[in-house]
Amino acid sequence: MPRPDEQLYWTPIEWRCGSFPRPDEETEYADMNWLVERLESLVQMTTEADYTPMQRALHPAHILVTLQGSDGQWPAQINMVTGEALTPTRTSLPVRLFRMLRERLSSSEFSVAIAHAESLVEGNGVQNGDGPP
Amino acid sequence: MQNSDLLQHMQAKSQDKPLSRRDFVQVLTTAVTAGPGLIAAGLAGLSLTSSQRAEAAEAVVAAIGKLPRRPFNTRLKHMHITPMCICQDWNPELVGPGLALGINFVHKAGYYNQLPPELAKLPRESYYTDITVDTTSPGHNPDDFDSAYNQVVQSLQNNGLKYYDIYRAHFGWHDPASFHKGTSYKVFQRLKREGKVRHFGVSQHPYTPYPDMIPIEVDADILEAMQVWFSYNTPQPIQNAFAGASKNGIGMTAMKVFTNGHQPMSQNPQLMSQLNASGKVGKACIKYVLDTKRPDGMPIFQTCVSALGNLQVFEENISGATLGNKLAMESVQEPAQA
Repeated sequence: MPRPDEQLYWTPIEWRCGSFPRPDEETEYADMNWLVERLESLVQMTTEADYTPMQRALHPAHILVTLQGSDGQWPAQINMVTGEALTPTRTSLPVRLFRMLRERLSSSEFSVAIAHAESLVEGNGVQNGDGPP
Repeated sequence: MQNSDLLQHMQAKSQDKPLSRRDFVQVLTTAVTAGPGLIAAGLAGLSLTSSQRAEAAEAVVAAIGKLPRRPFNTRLKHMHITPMCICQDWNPELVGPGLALGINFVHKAGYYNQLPPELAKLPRESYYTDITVDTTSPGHNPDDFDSAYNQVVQSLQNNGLKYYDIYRAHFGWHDPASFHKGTSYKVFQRLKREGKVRHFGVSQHPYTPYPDMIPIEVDADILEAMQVWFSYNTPQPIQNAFAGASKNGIGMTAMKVFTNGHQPMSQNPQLMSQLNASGKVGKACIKYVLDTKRPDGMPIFQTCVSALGNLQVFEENISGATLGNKLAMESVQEPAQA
């Protein structure tokens, strides 16, 4: 879980996963669990007066939509420079973030990605946006 | 009490409990004296109620005035639009102020499950919309005709918009082969016959490098609108590709203007000063993009999208799209005949 005082660094815009949060200025890969938790914490920081934390999470969320595989899932670890998978392990964790954004934005923006995951990963815990056991 | 001392005092006071009417009027009056583009900045750090924020937004809007409107390039010259669009993911509190500024294009309107009340009460023909149709995203099937068609039909049933002005293939085509299959265009043609959409466009992400992809899309001669990643420091070959599309008469919208531009822009104070945006990175980013010209001297982009999350960002970024750019004075040239 993110610490309240945790500082986030951001990947270069030229990367496939540009403007993604990372724990330091050197890390080039993303653990999907770590990434989704940080993006969710940004959404949770959003207030009626200030949507900017959630909007900071929206760009990575948009890119995550484009990284969804034909199996409806994502790599559990990705190379943020290239967007390539660093492990054969798959996860549906971004769905949890998408559901949160769908609710906060009252938007159907992530509905296609959510439906894609749900239709293909039924019974694998995608109901909660969790990865396979 | 000096203005800065007053605001500092009110910032601390507002954290304990909402400012009284008297205190709020005092601090708003002080902030307004700073002039257009600096009102919300003067209120930064204050914890305001929603009604106080609304009143502050009215002051910001009154100071900025109406945004100019101009033809959305030659292929869409009947659509006179503002240099910035409202986006579905804006802070909802900013939709009303955006409309009050005269903004008349709503990007990603297809994602509304329900229209904001400020938009719902307007005559449908008084503003333009696009829907971003998501079937061209990698991992999805760009040839899924039914999915694309149903996304548009279902969204219109949900939000009551009656039609979209622009059908945008989102996130664009992964490669030329998927573009040439033409499924999105066939969906568009059916929806157009049914009166549900009017023009065909794309929100193209750079899967295939833009200099390789954009000319292919332009040459197909079916696109009337393009939304692409463009910001300060975008490499020249990419800018050239966009200039070519713009010269072809395609309505051009810039996105990722701040996301991709703010870091390099913040390191160029001289440019920010030239843009009359010292200390205002958002304003500088927007102004830079809208000012960037084609070789023939016309702007590449007629409009842009920007994520606006609070009143300070609203004021700063929209200030980059105001008449100070003399955008309203530029006419639109017809593309040269082949």
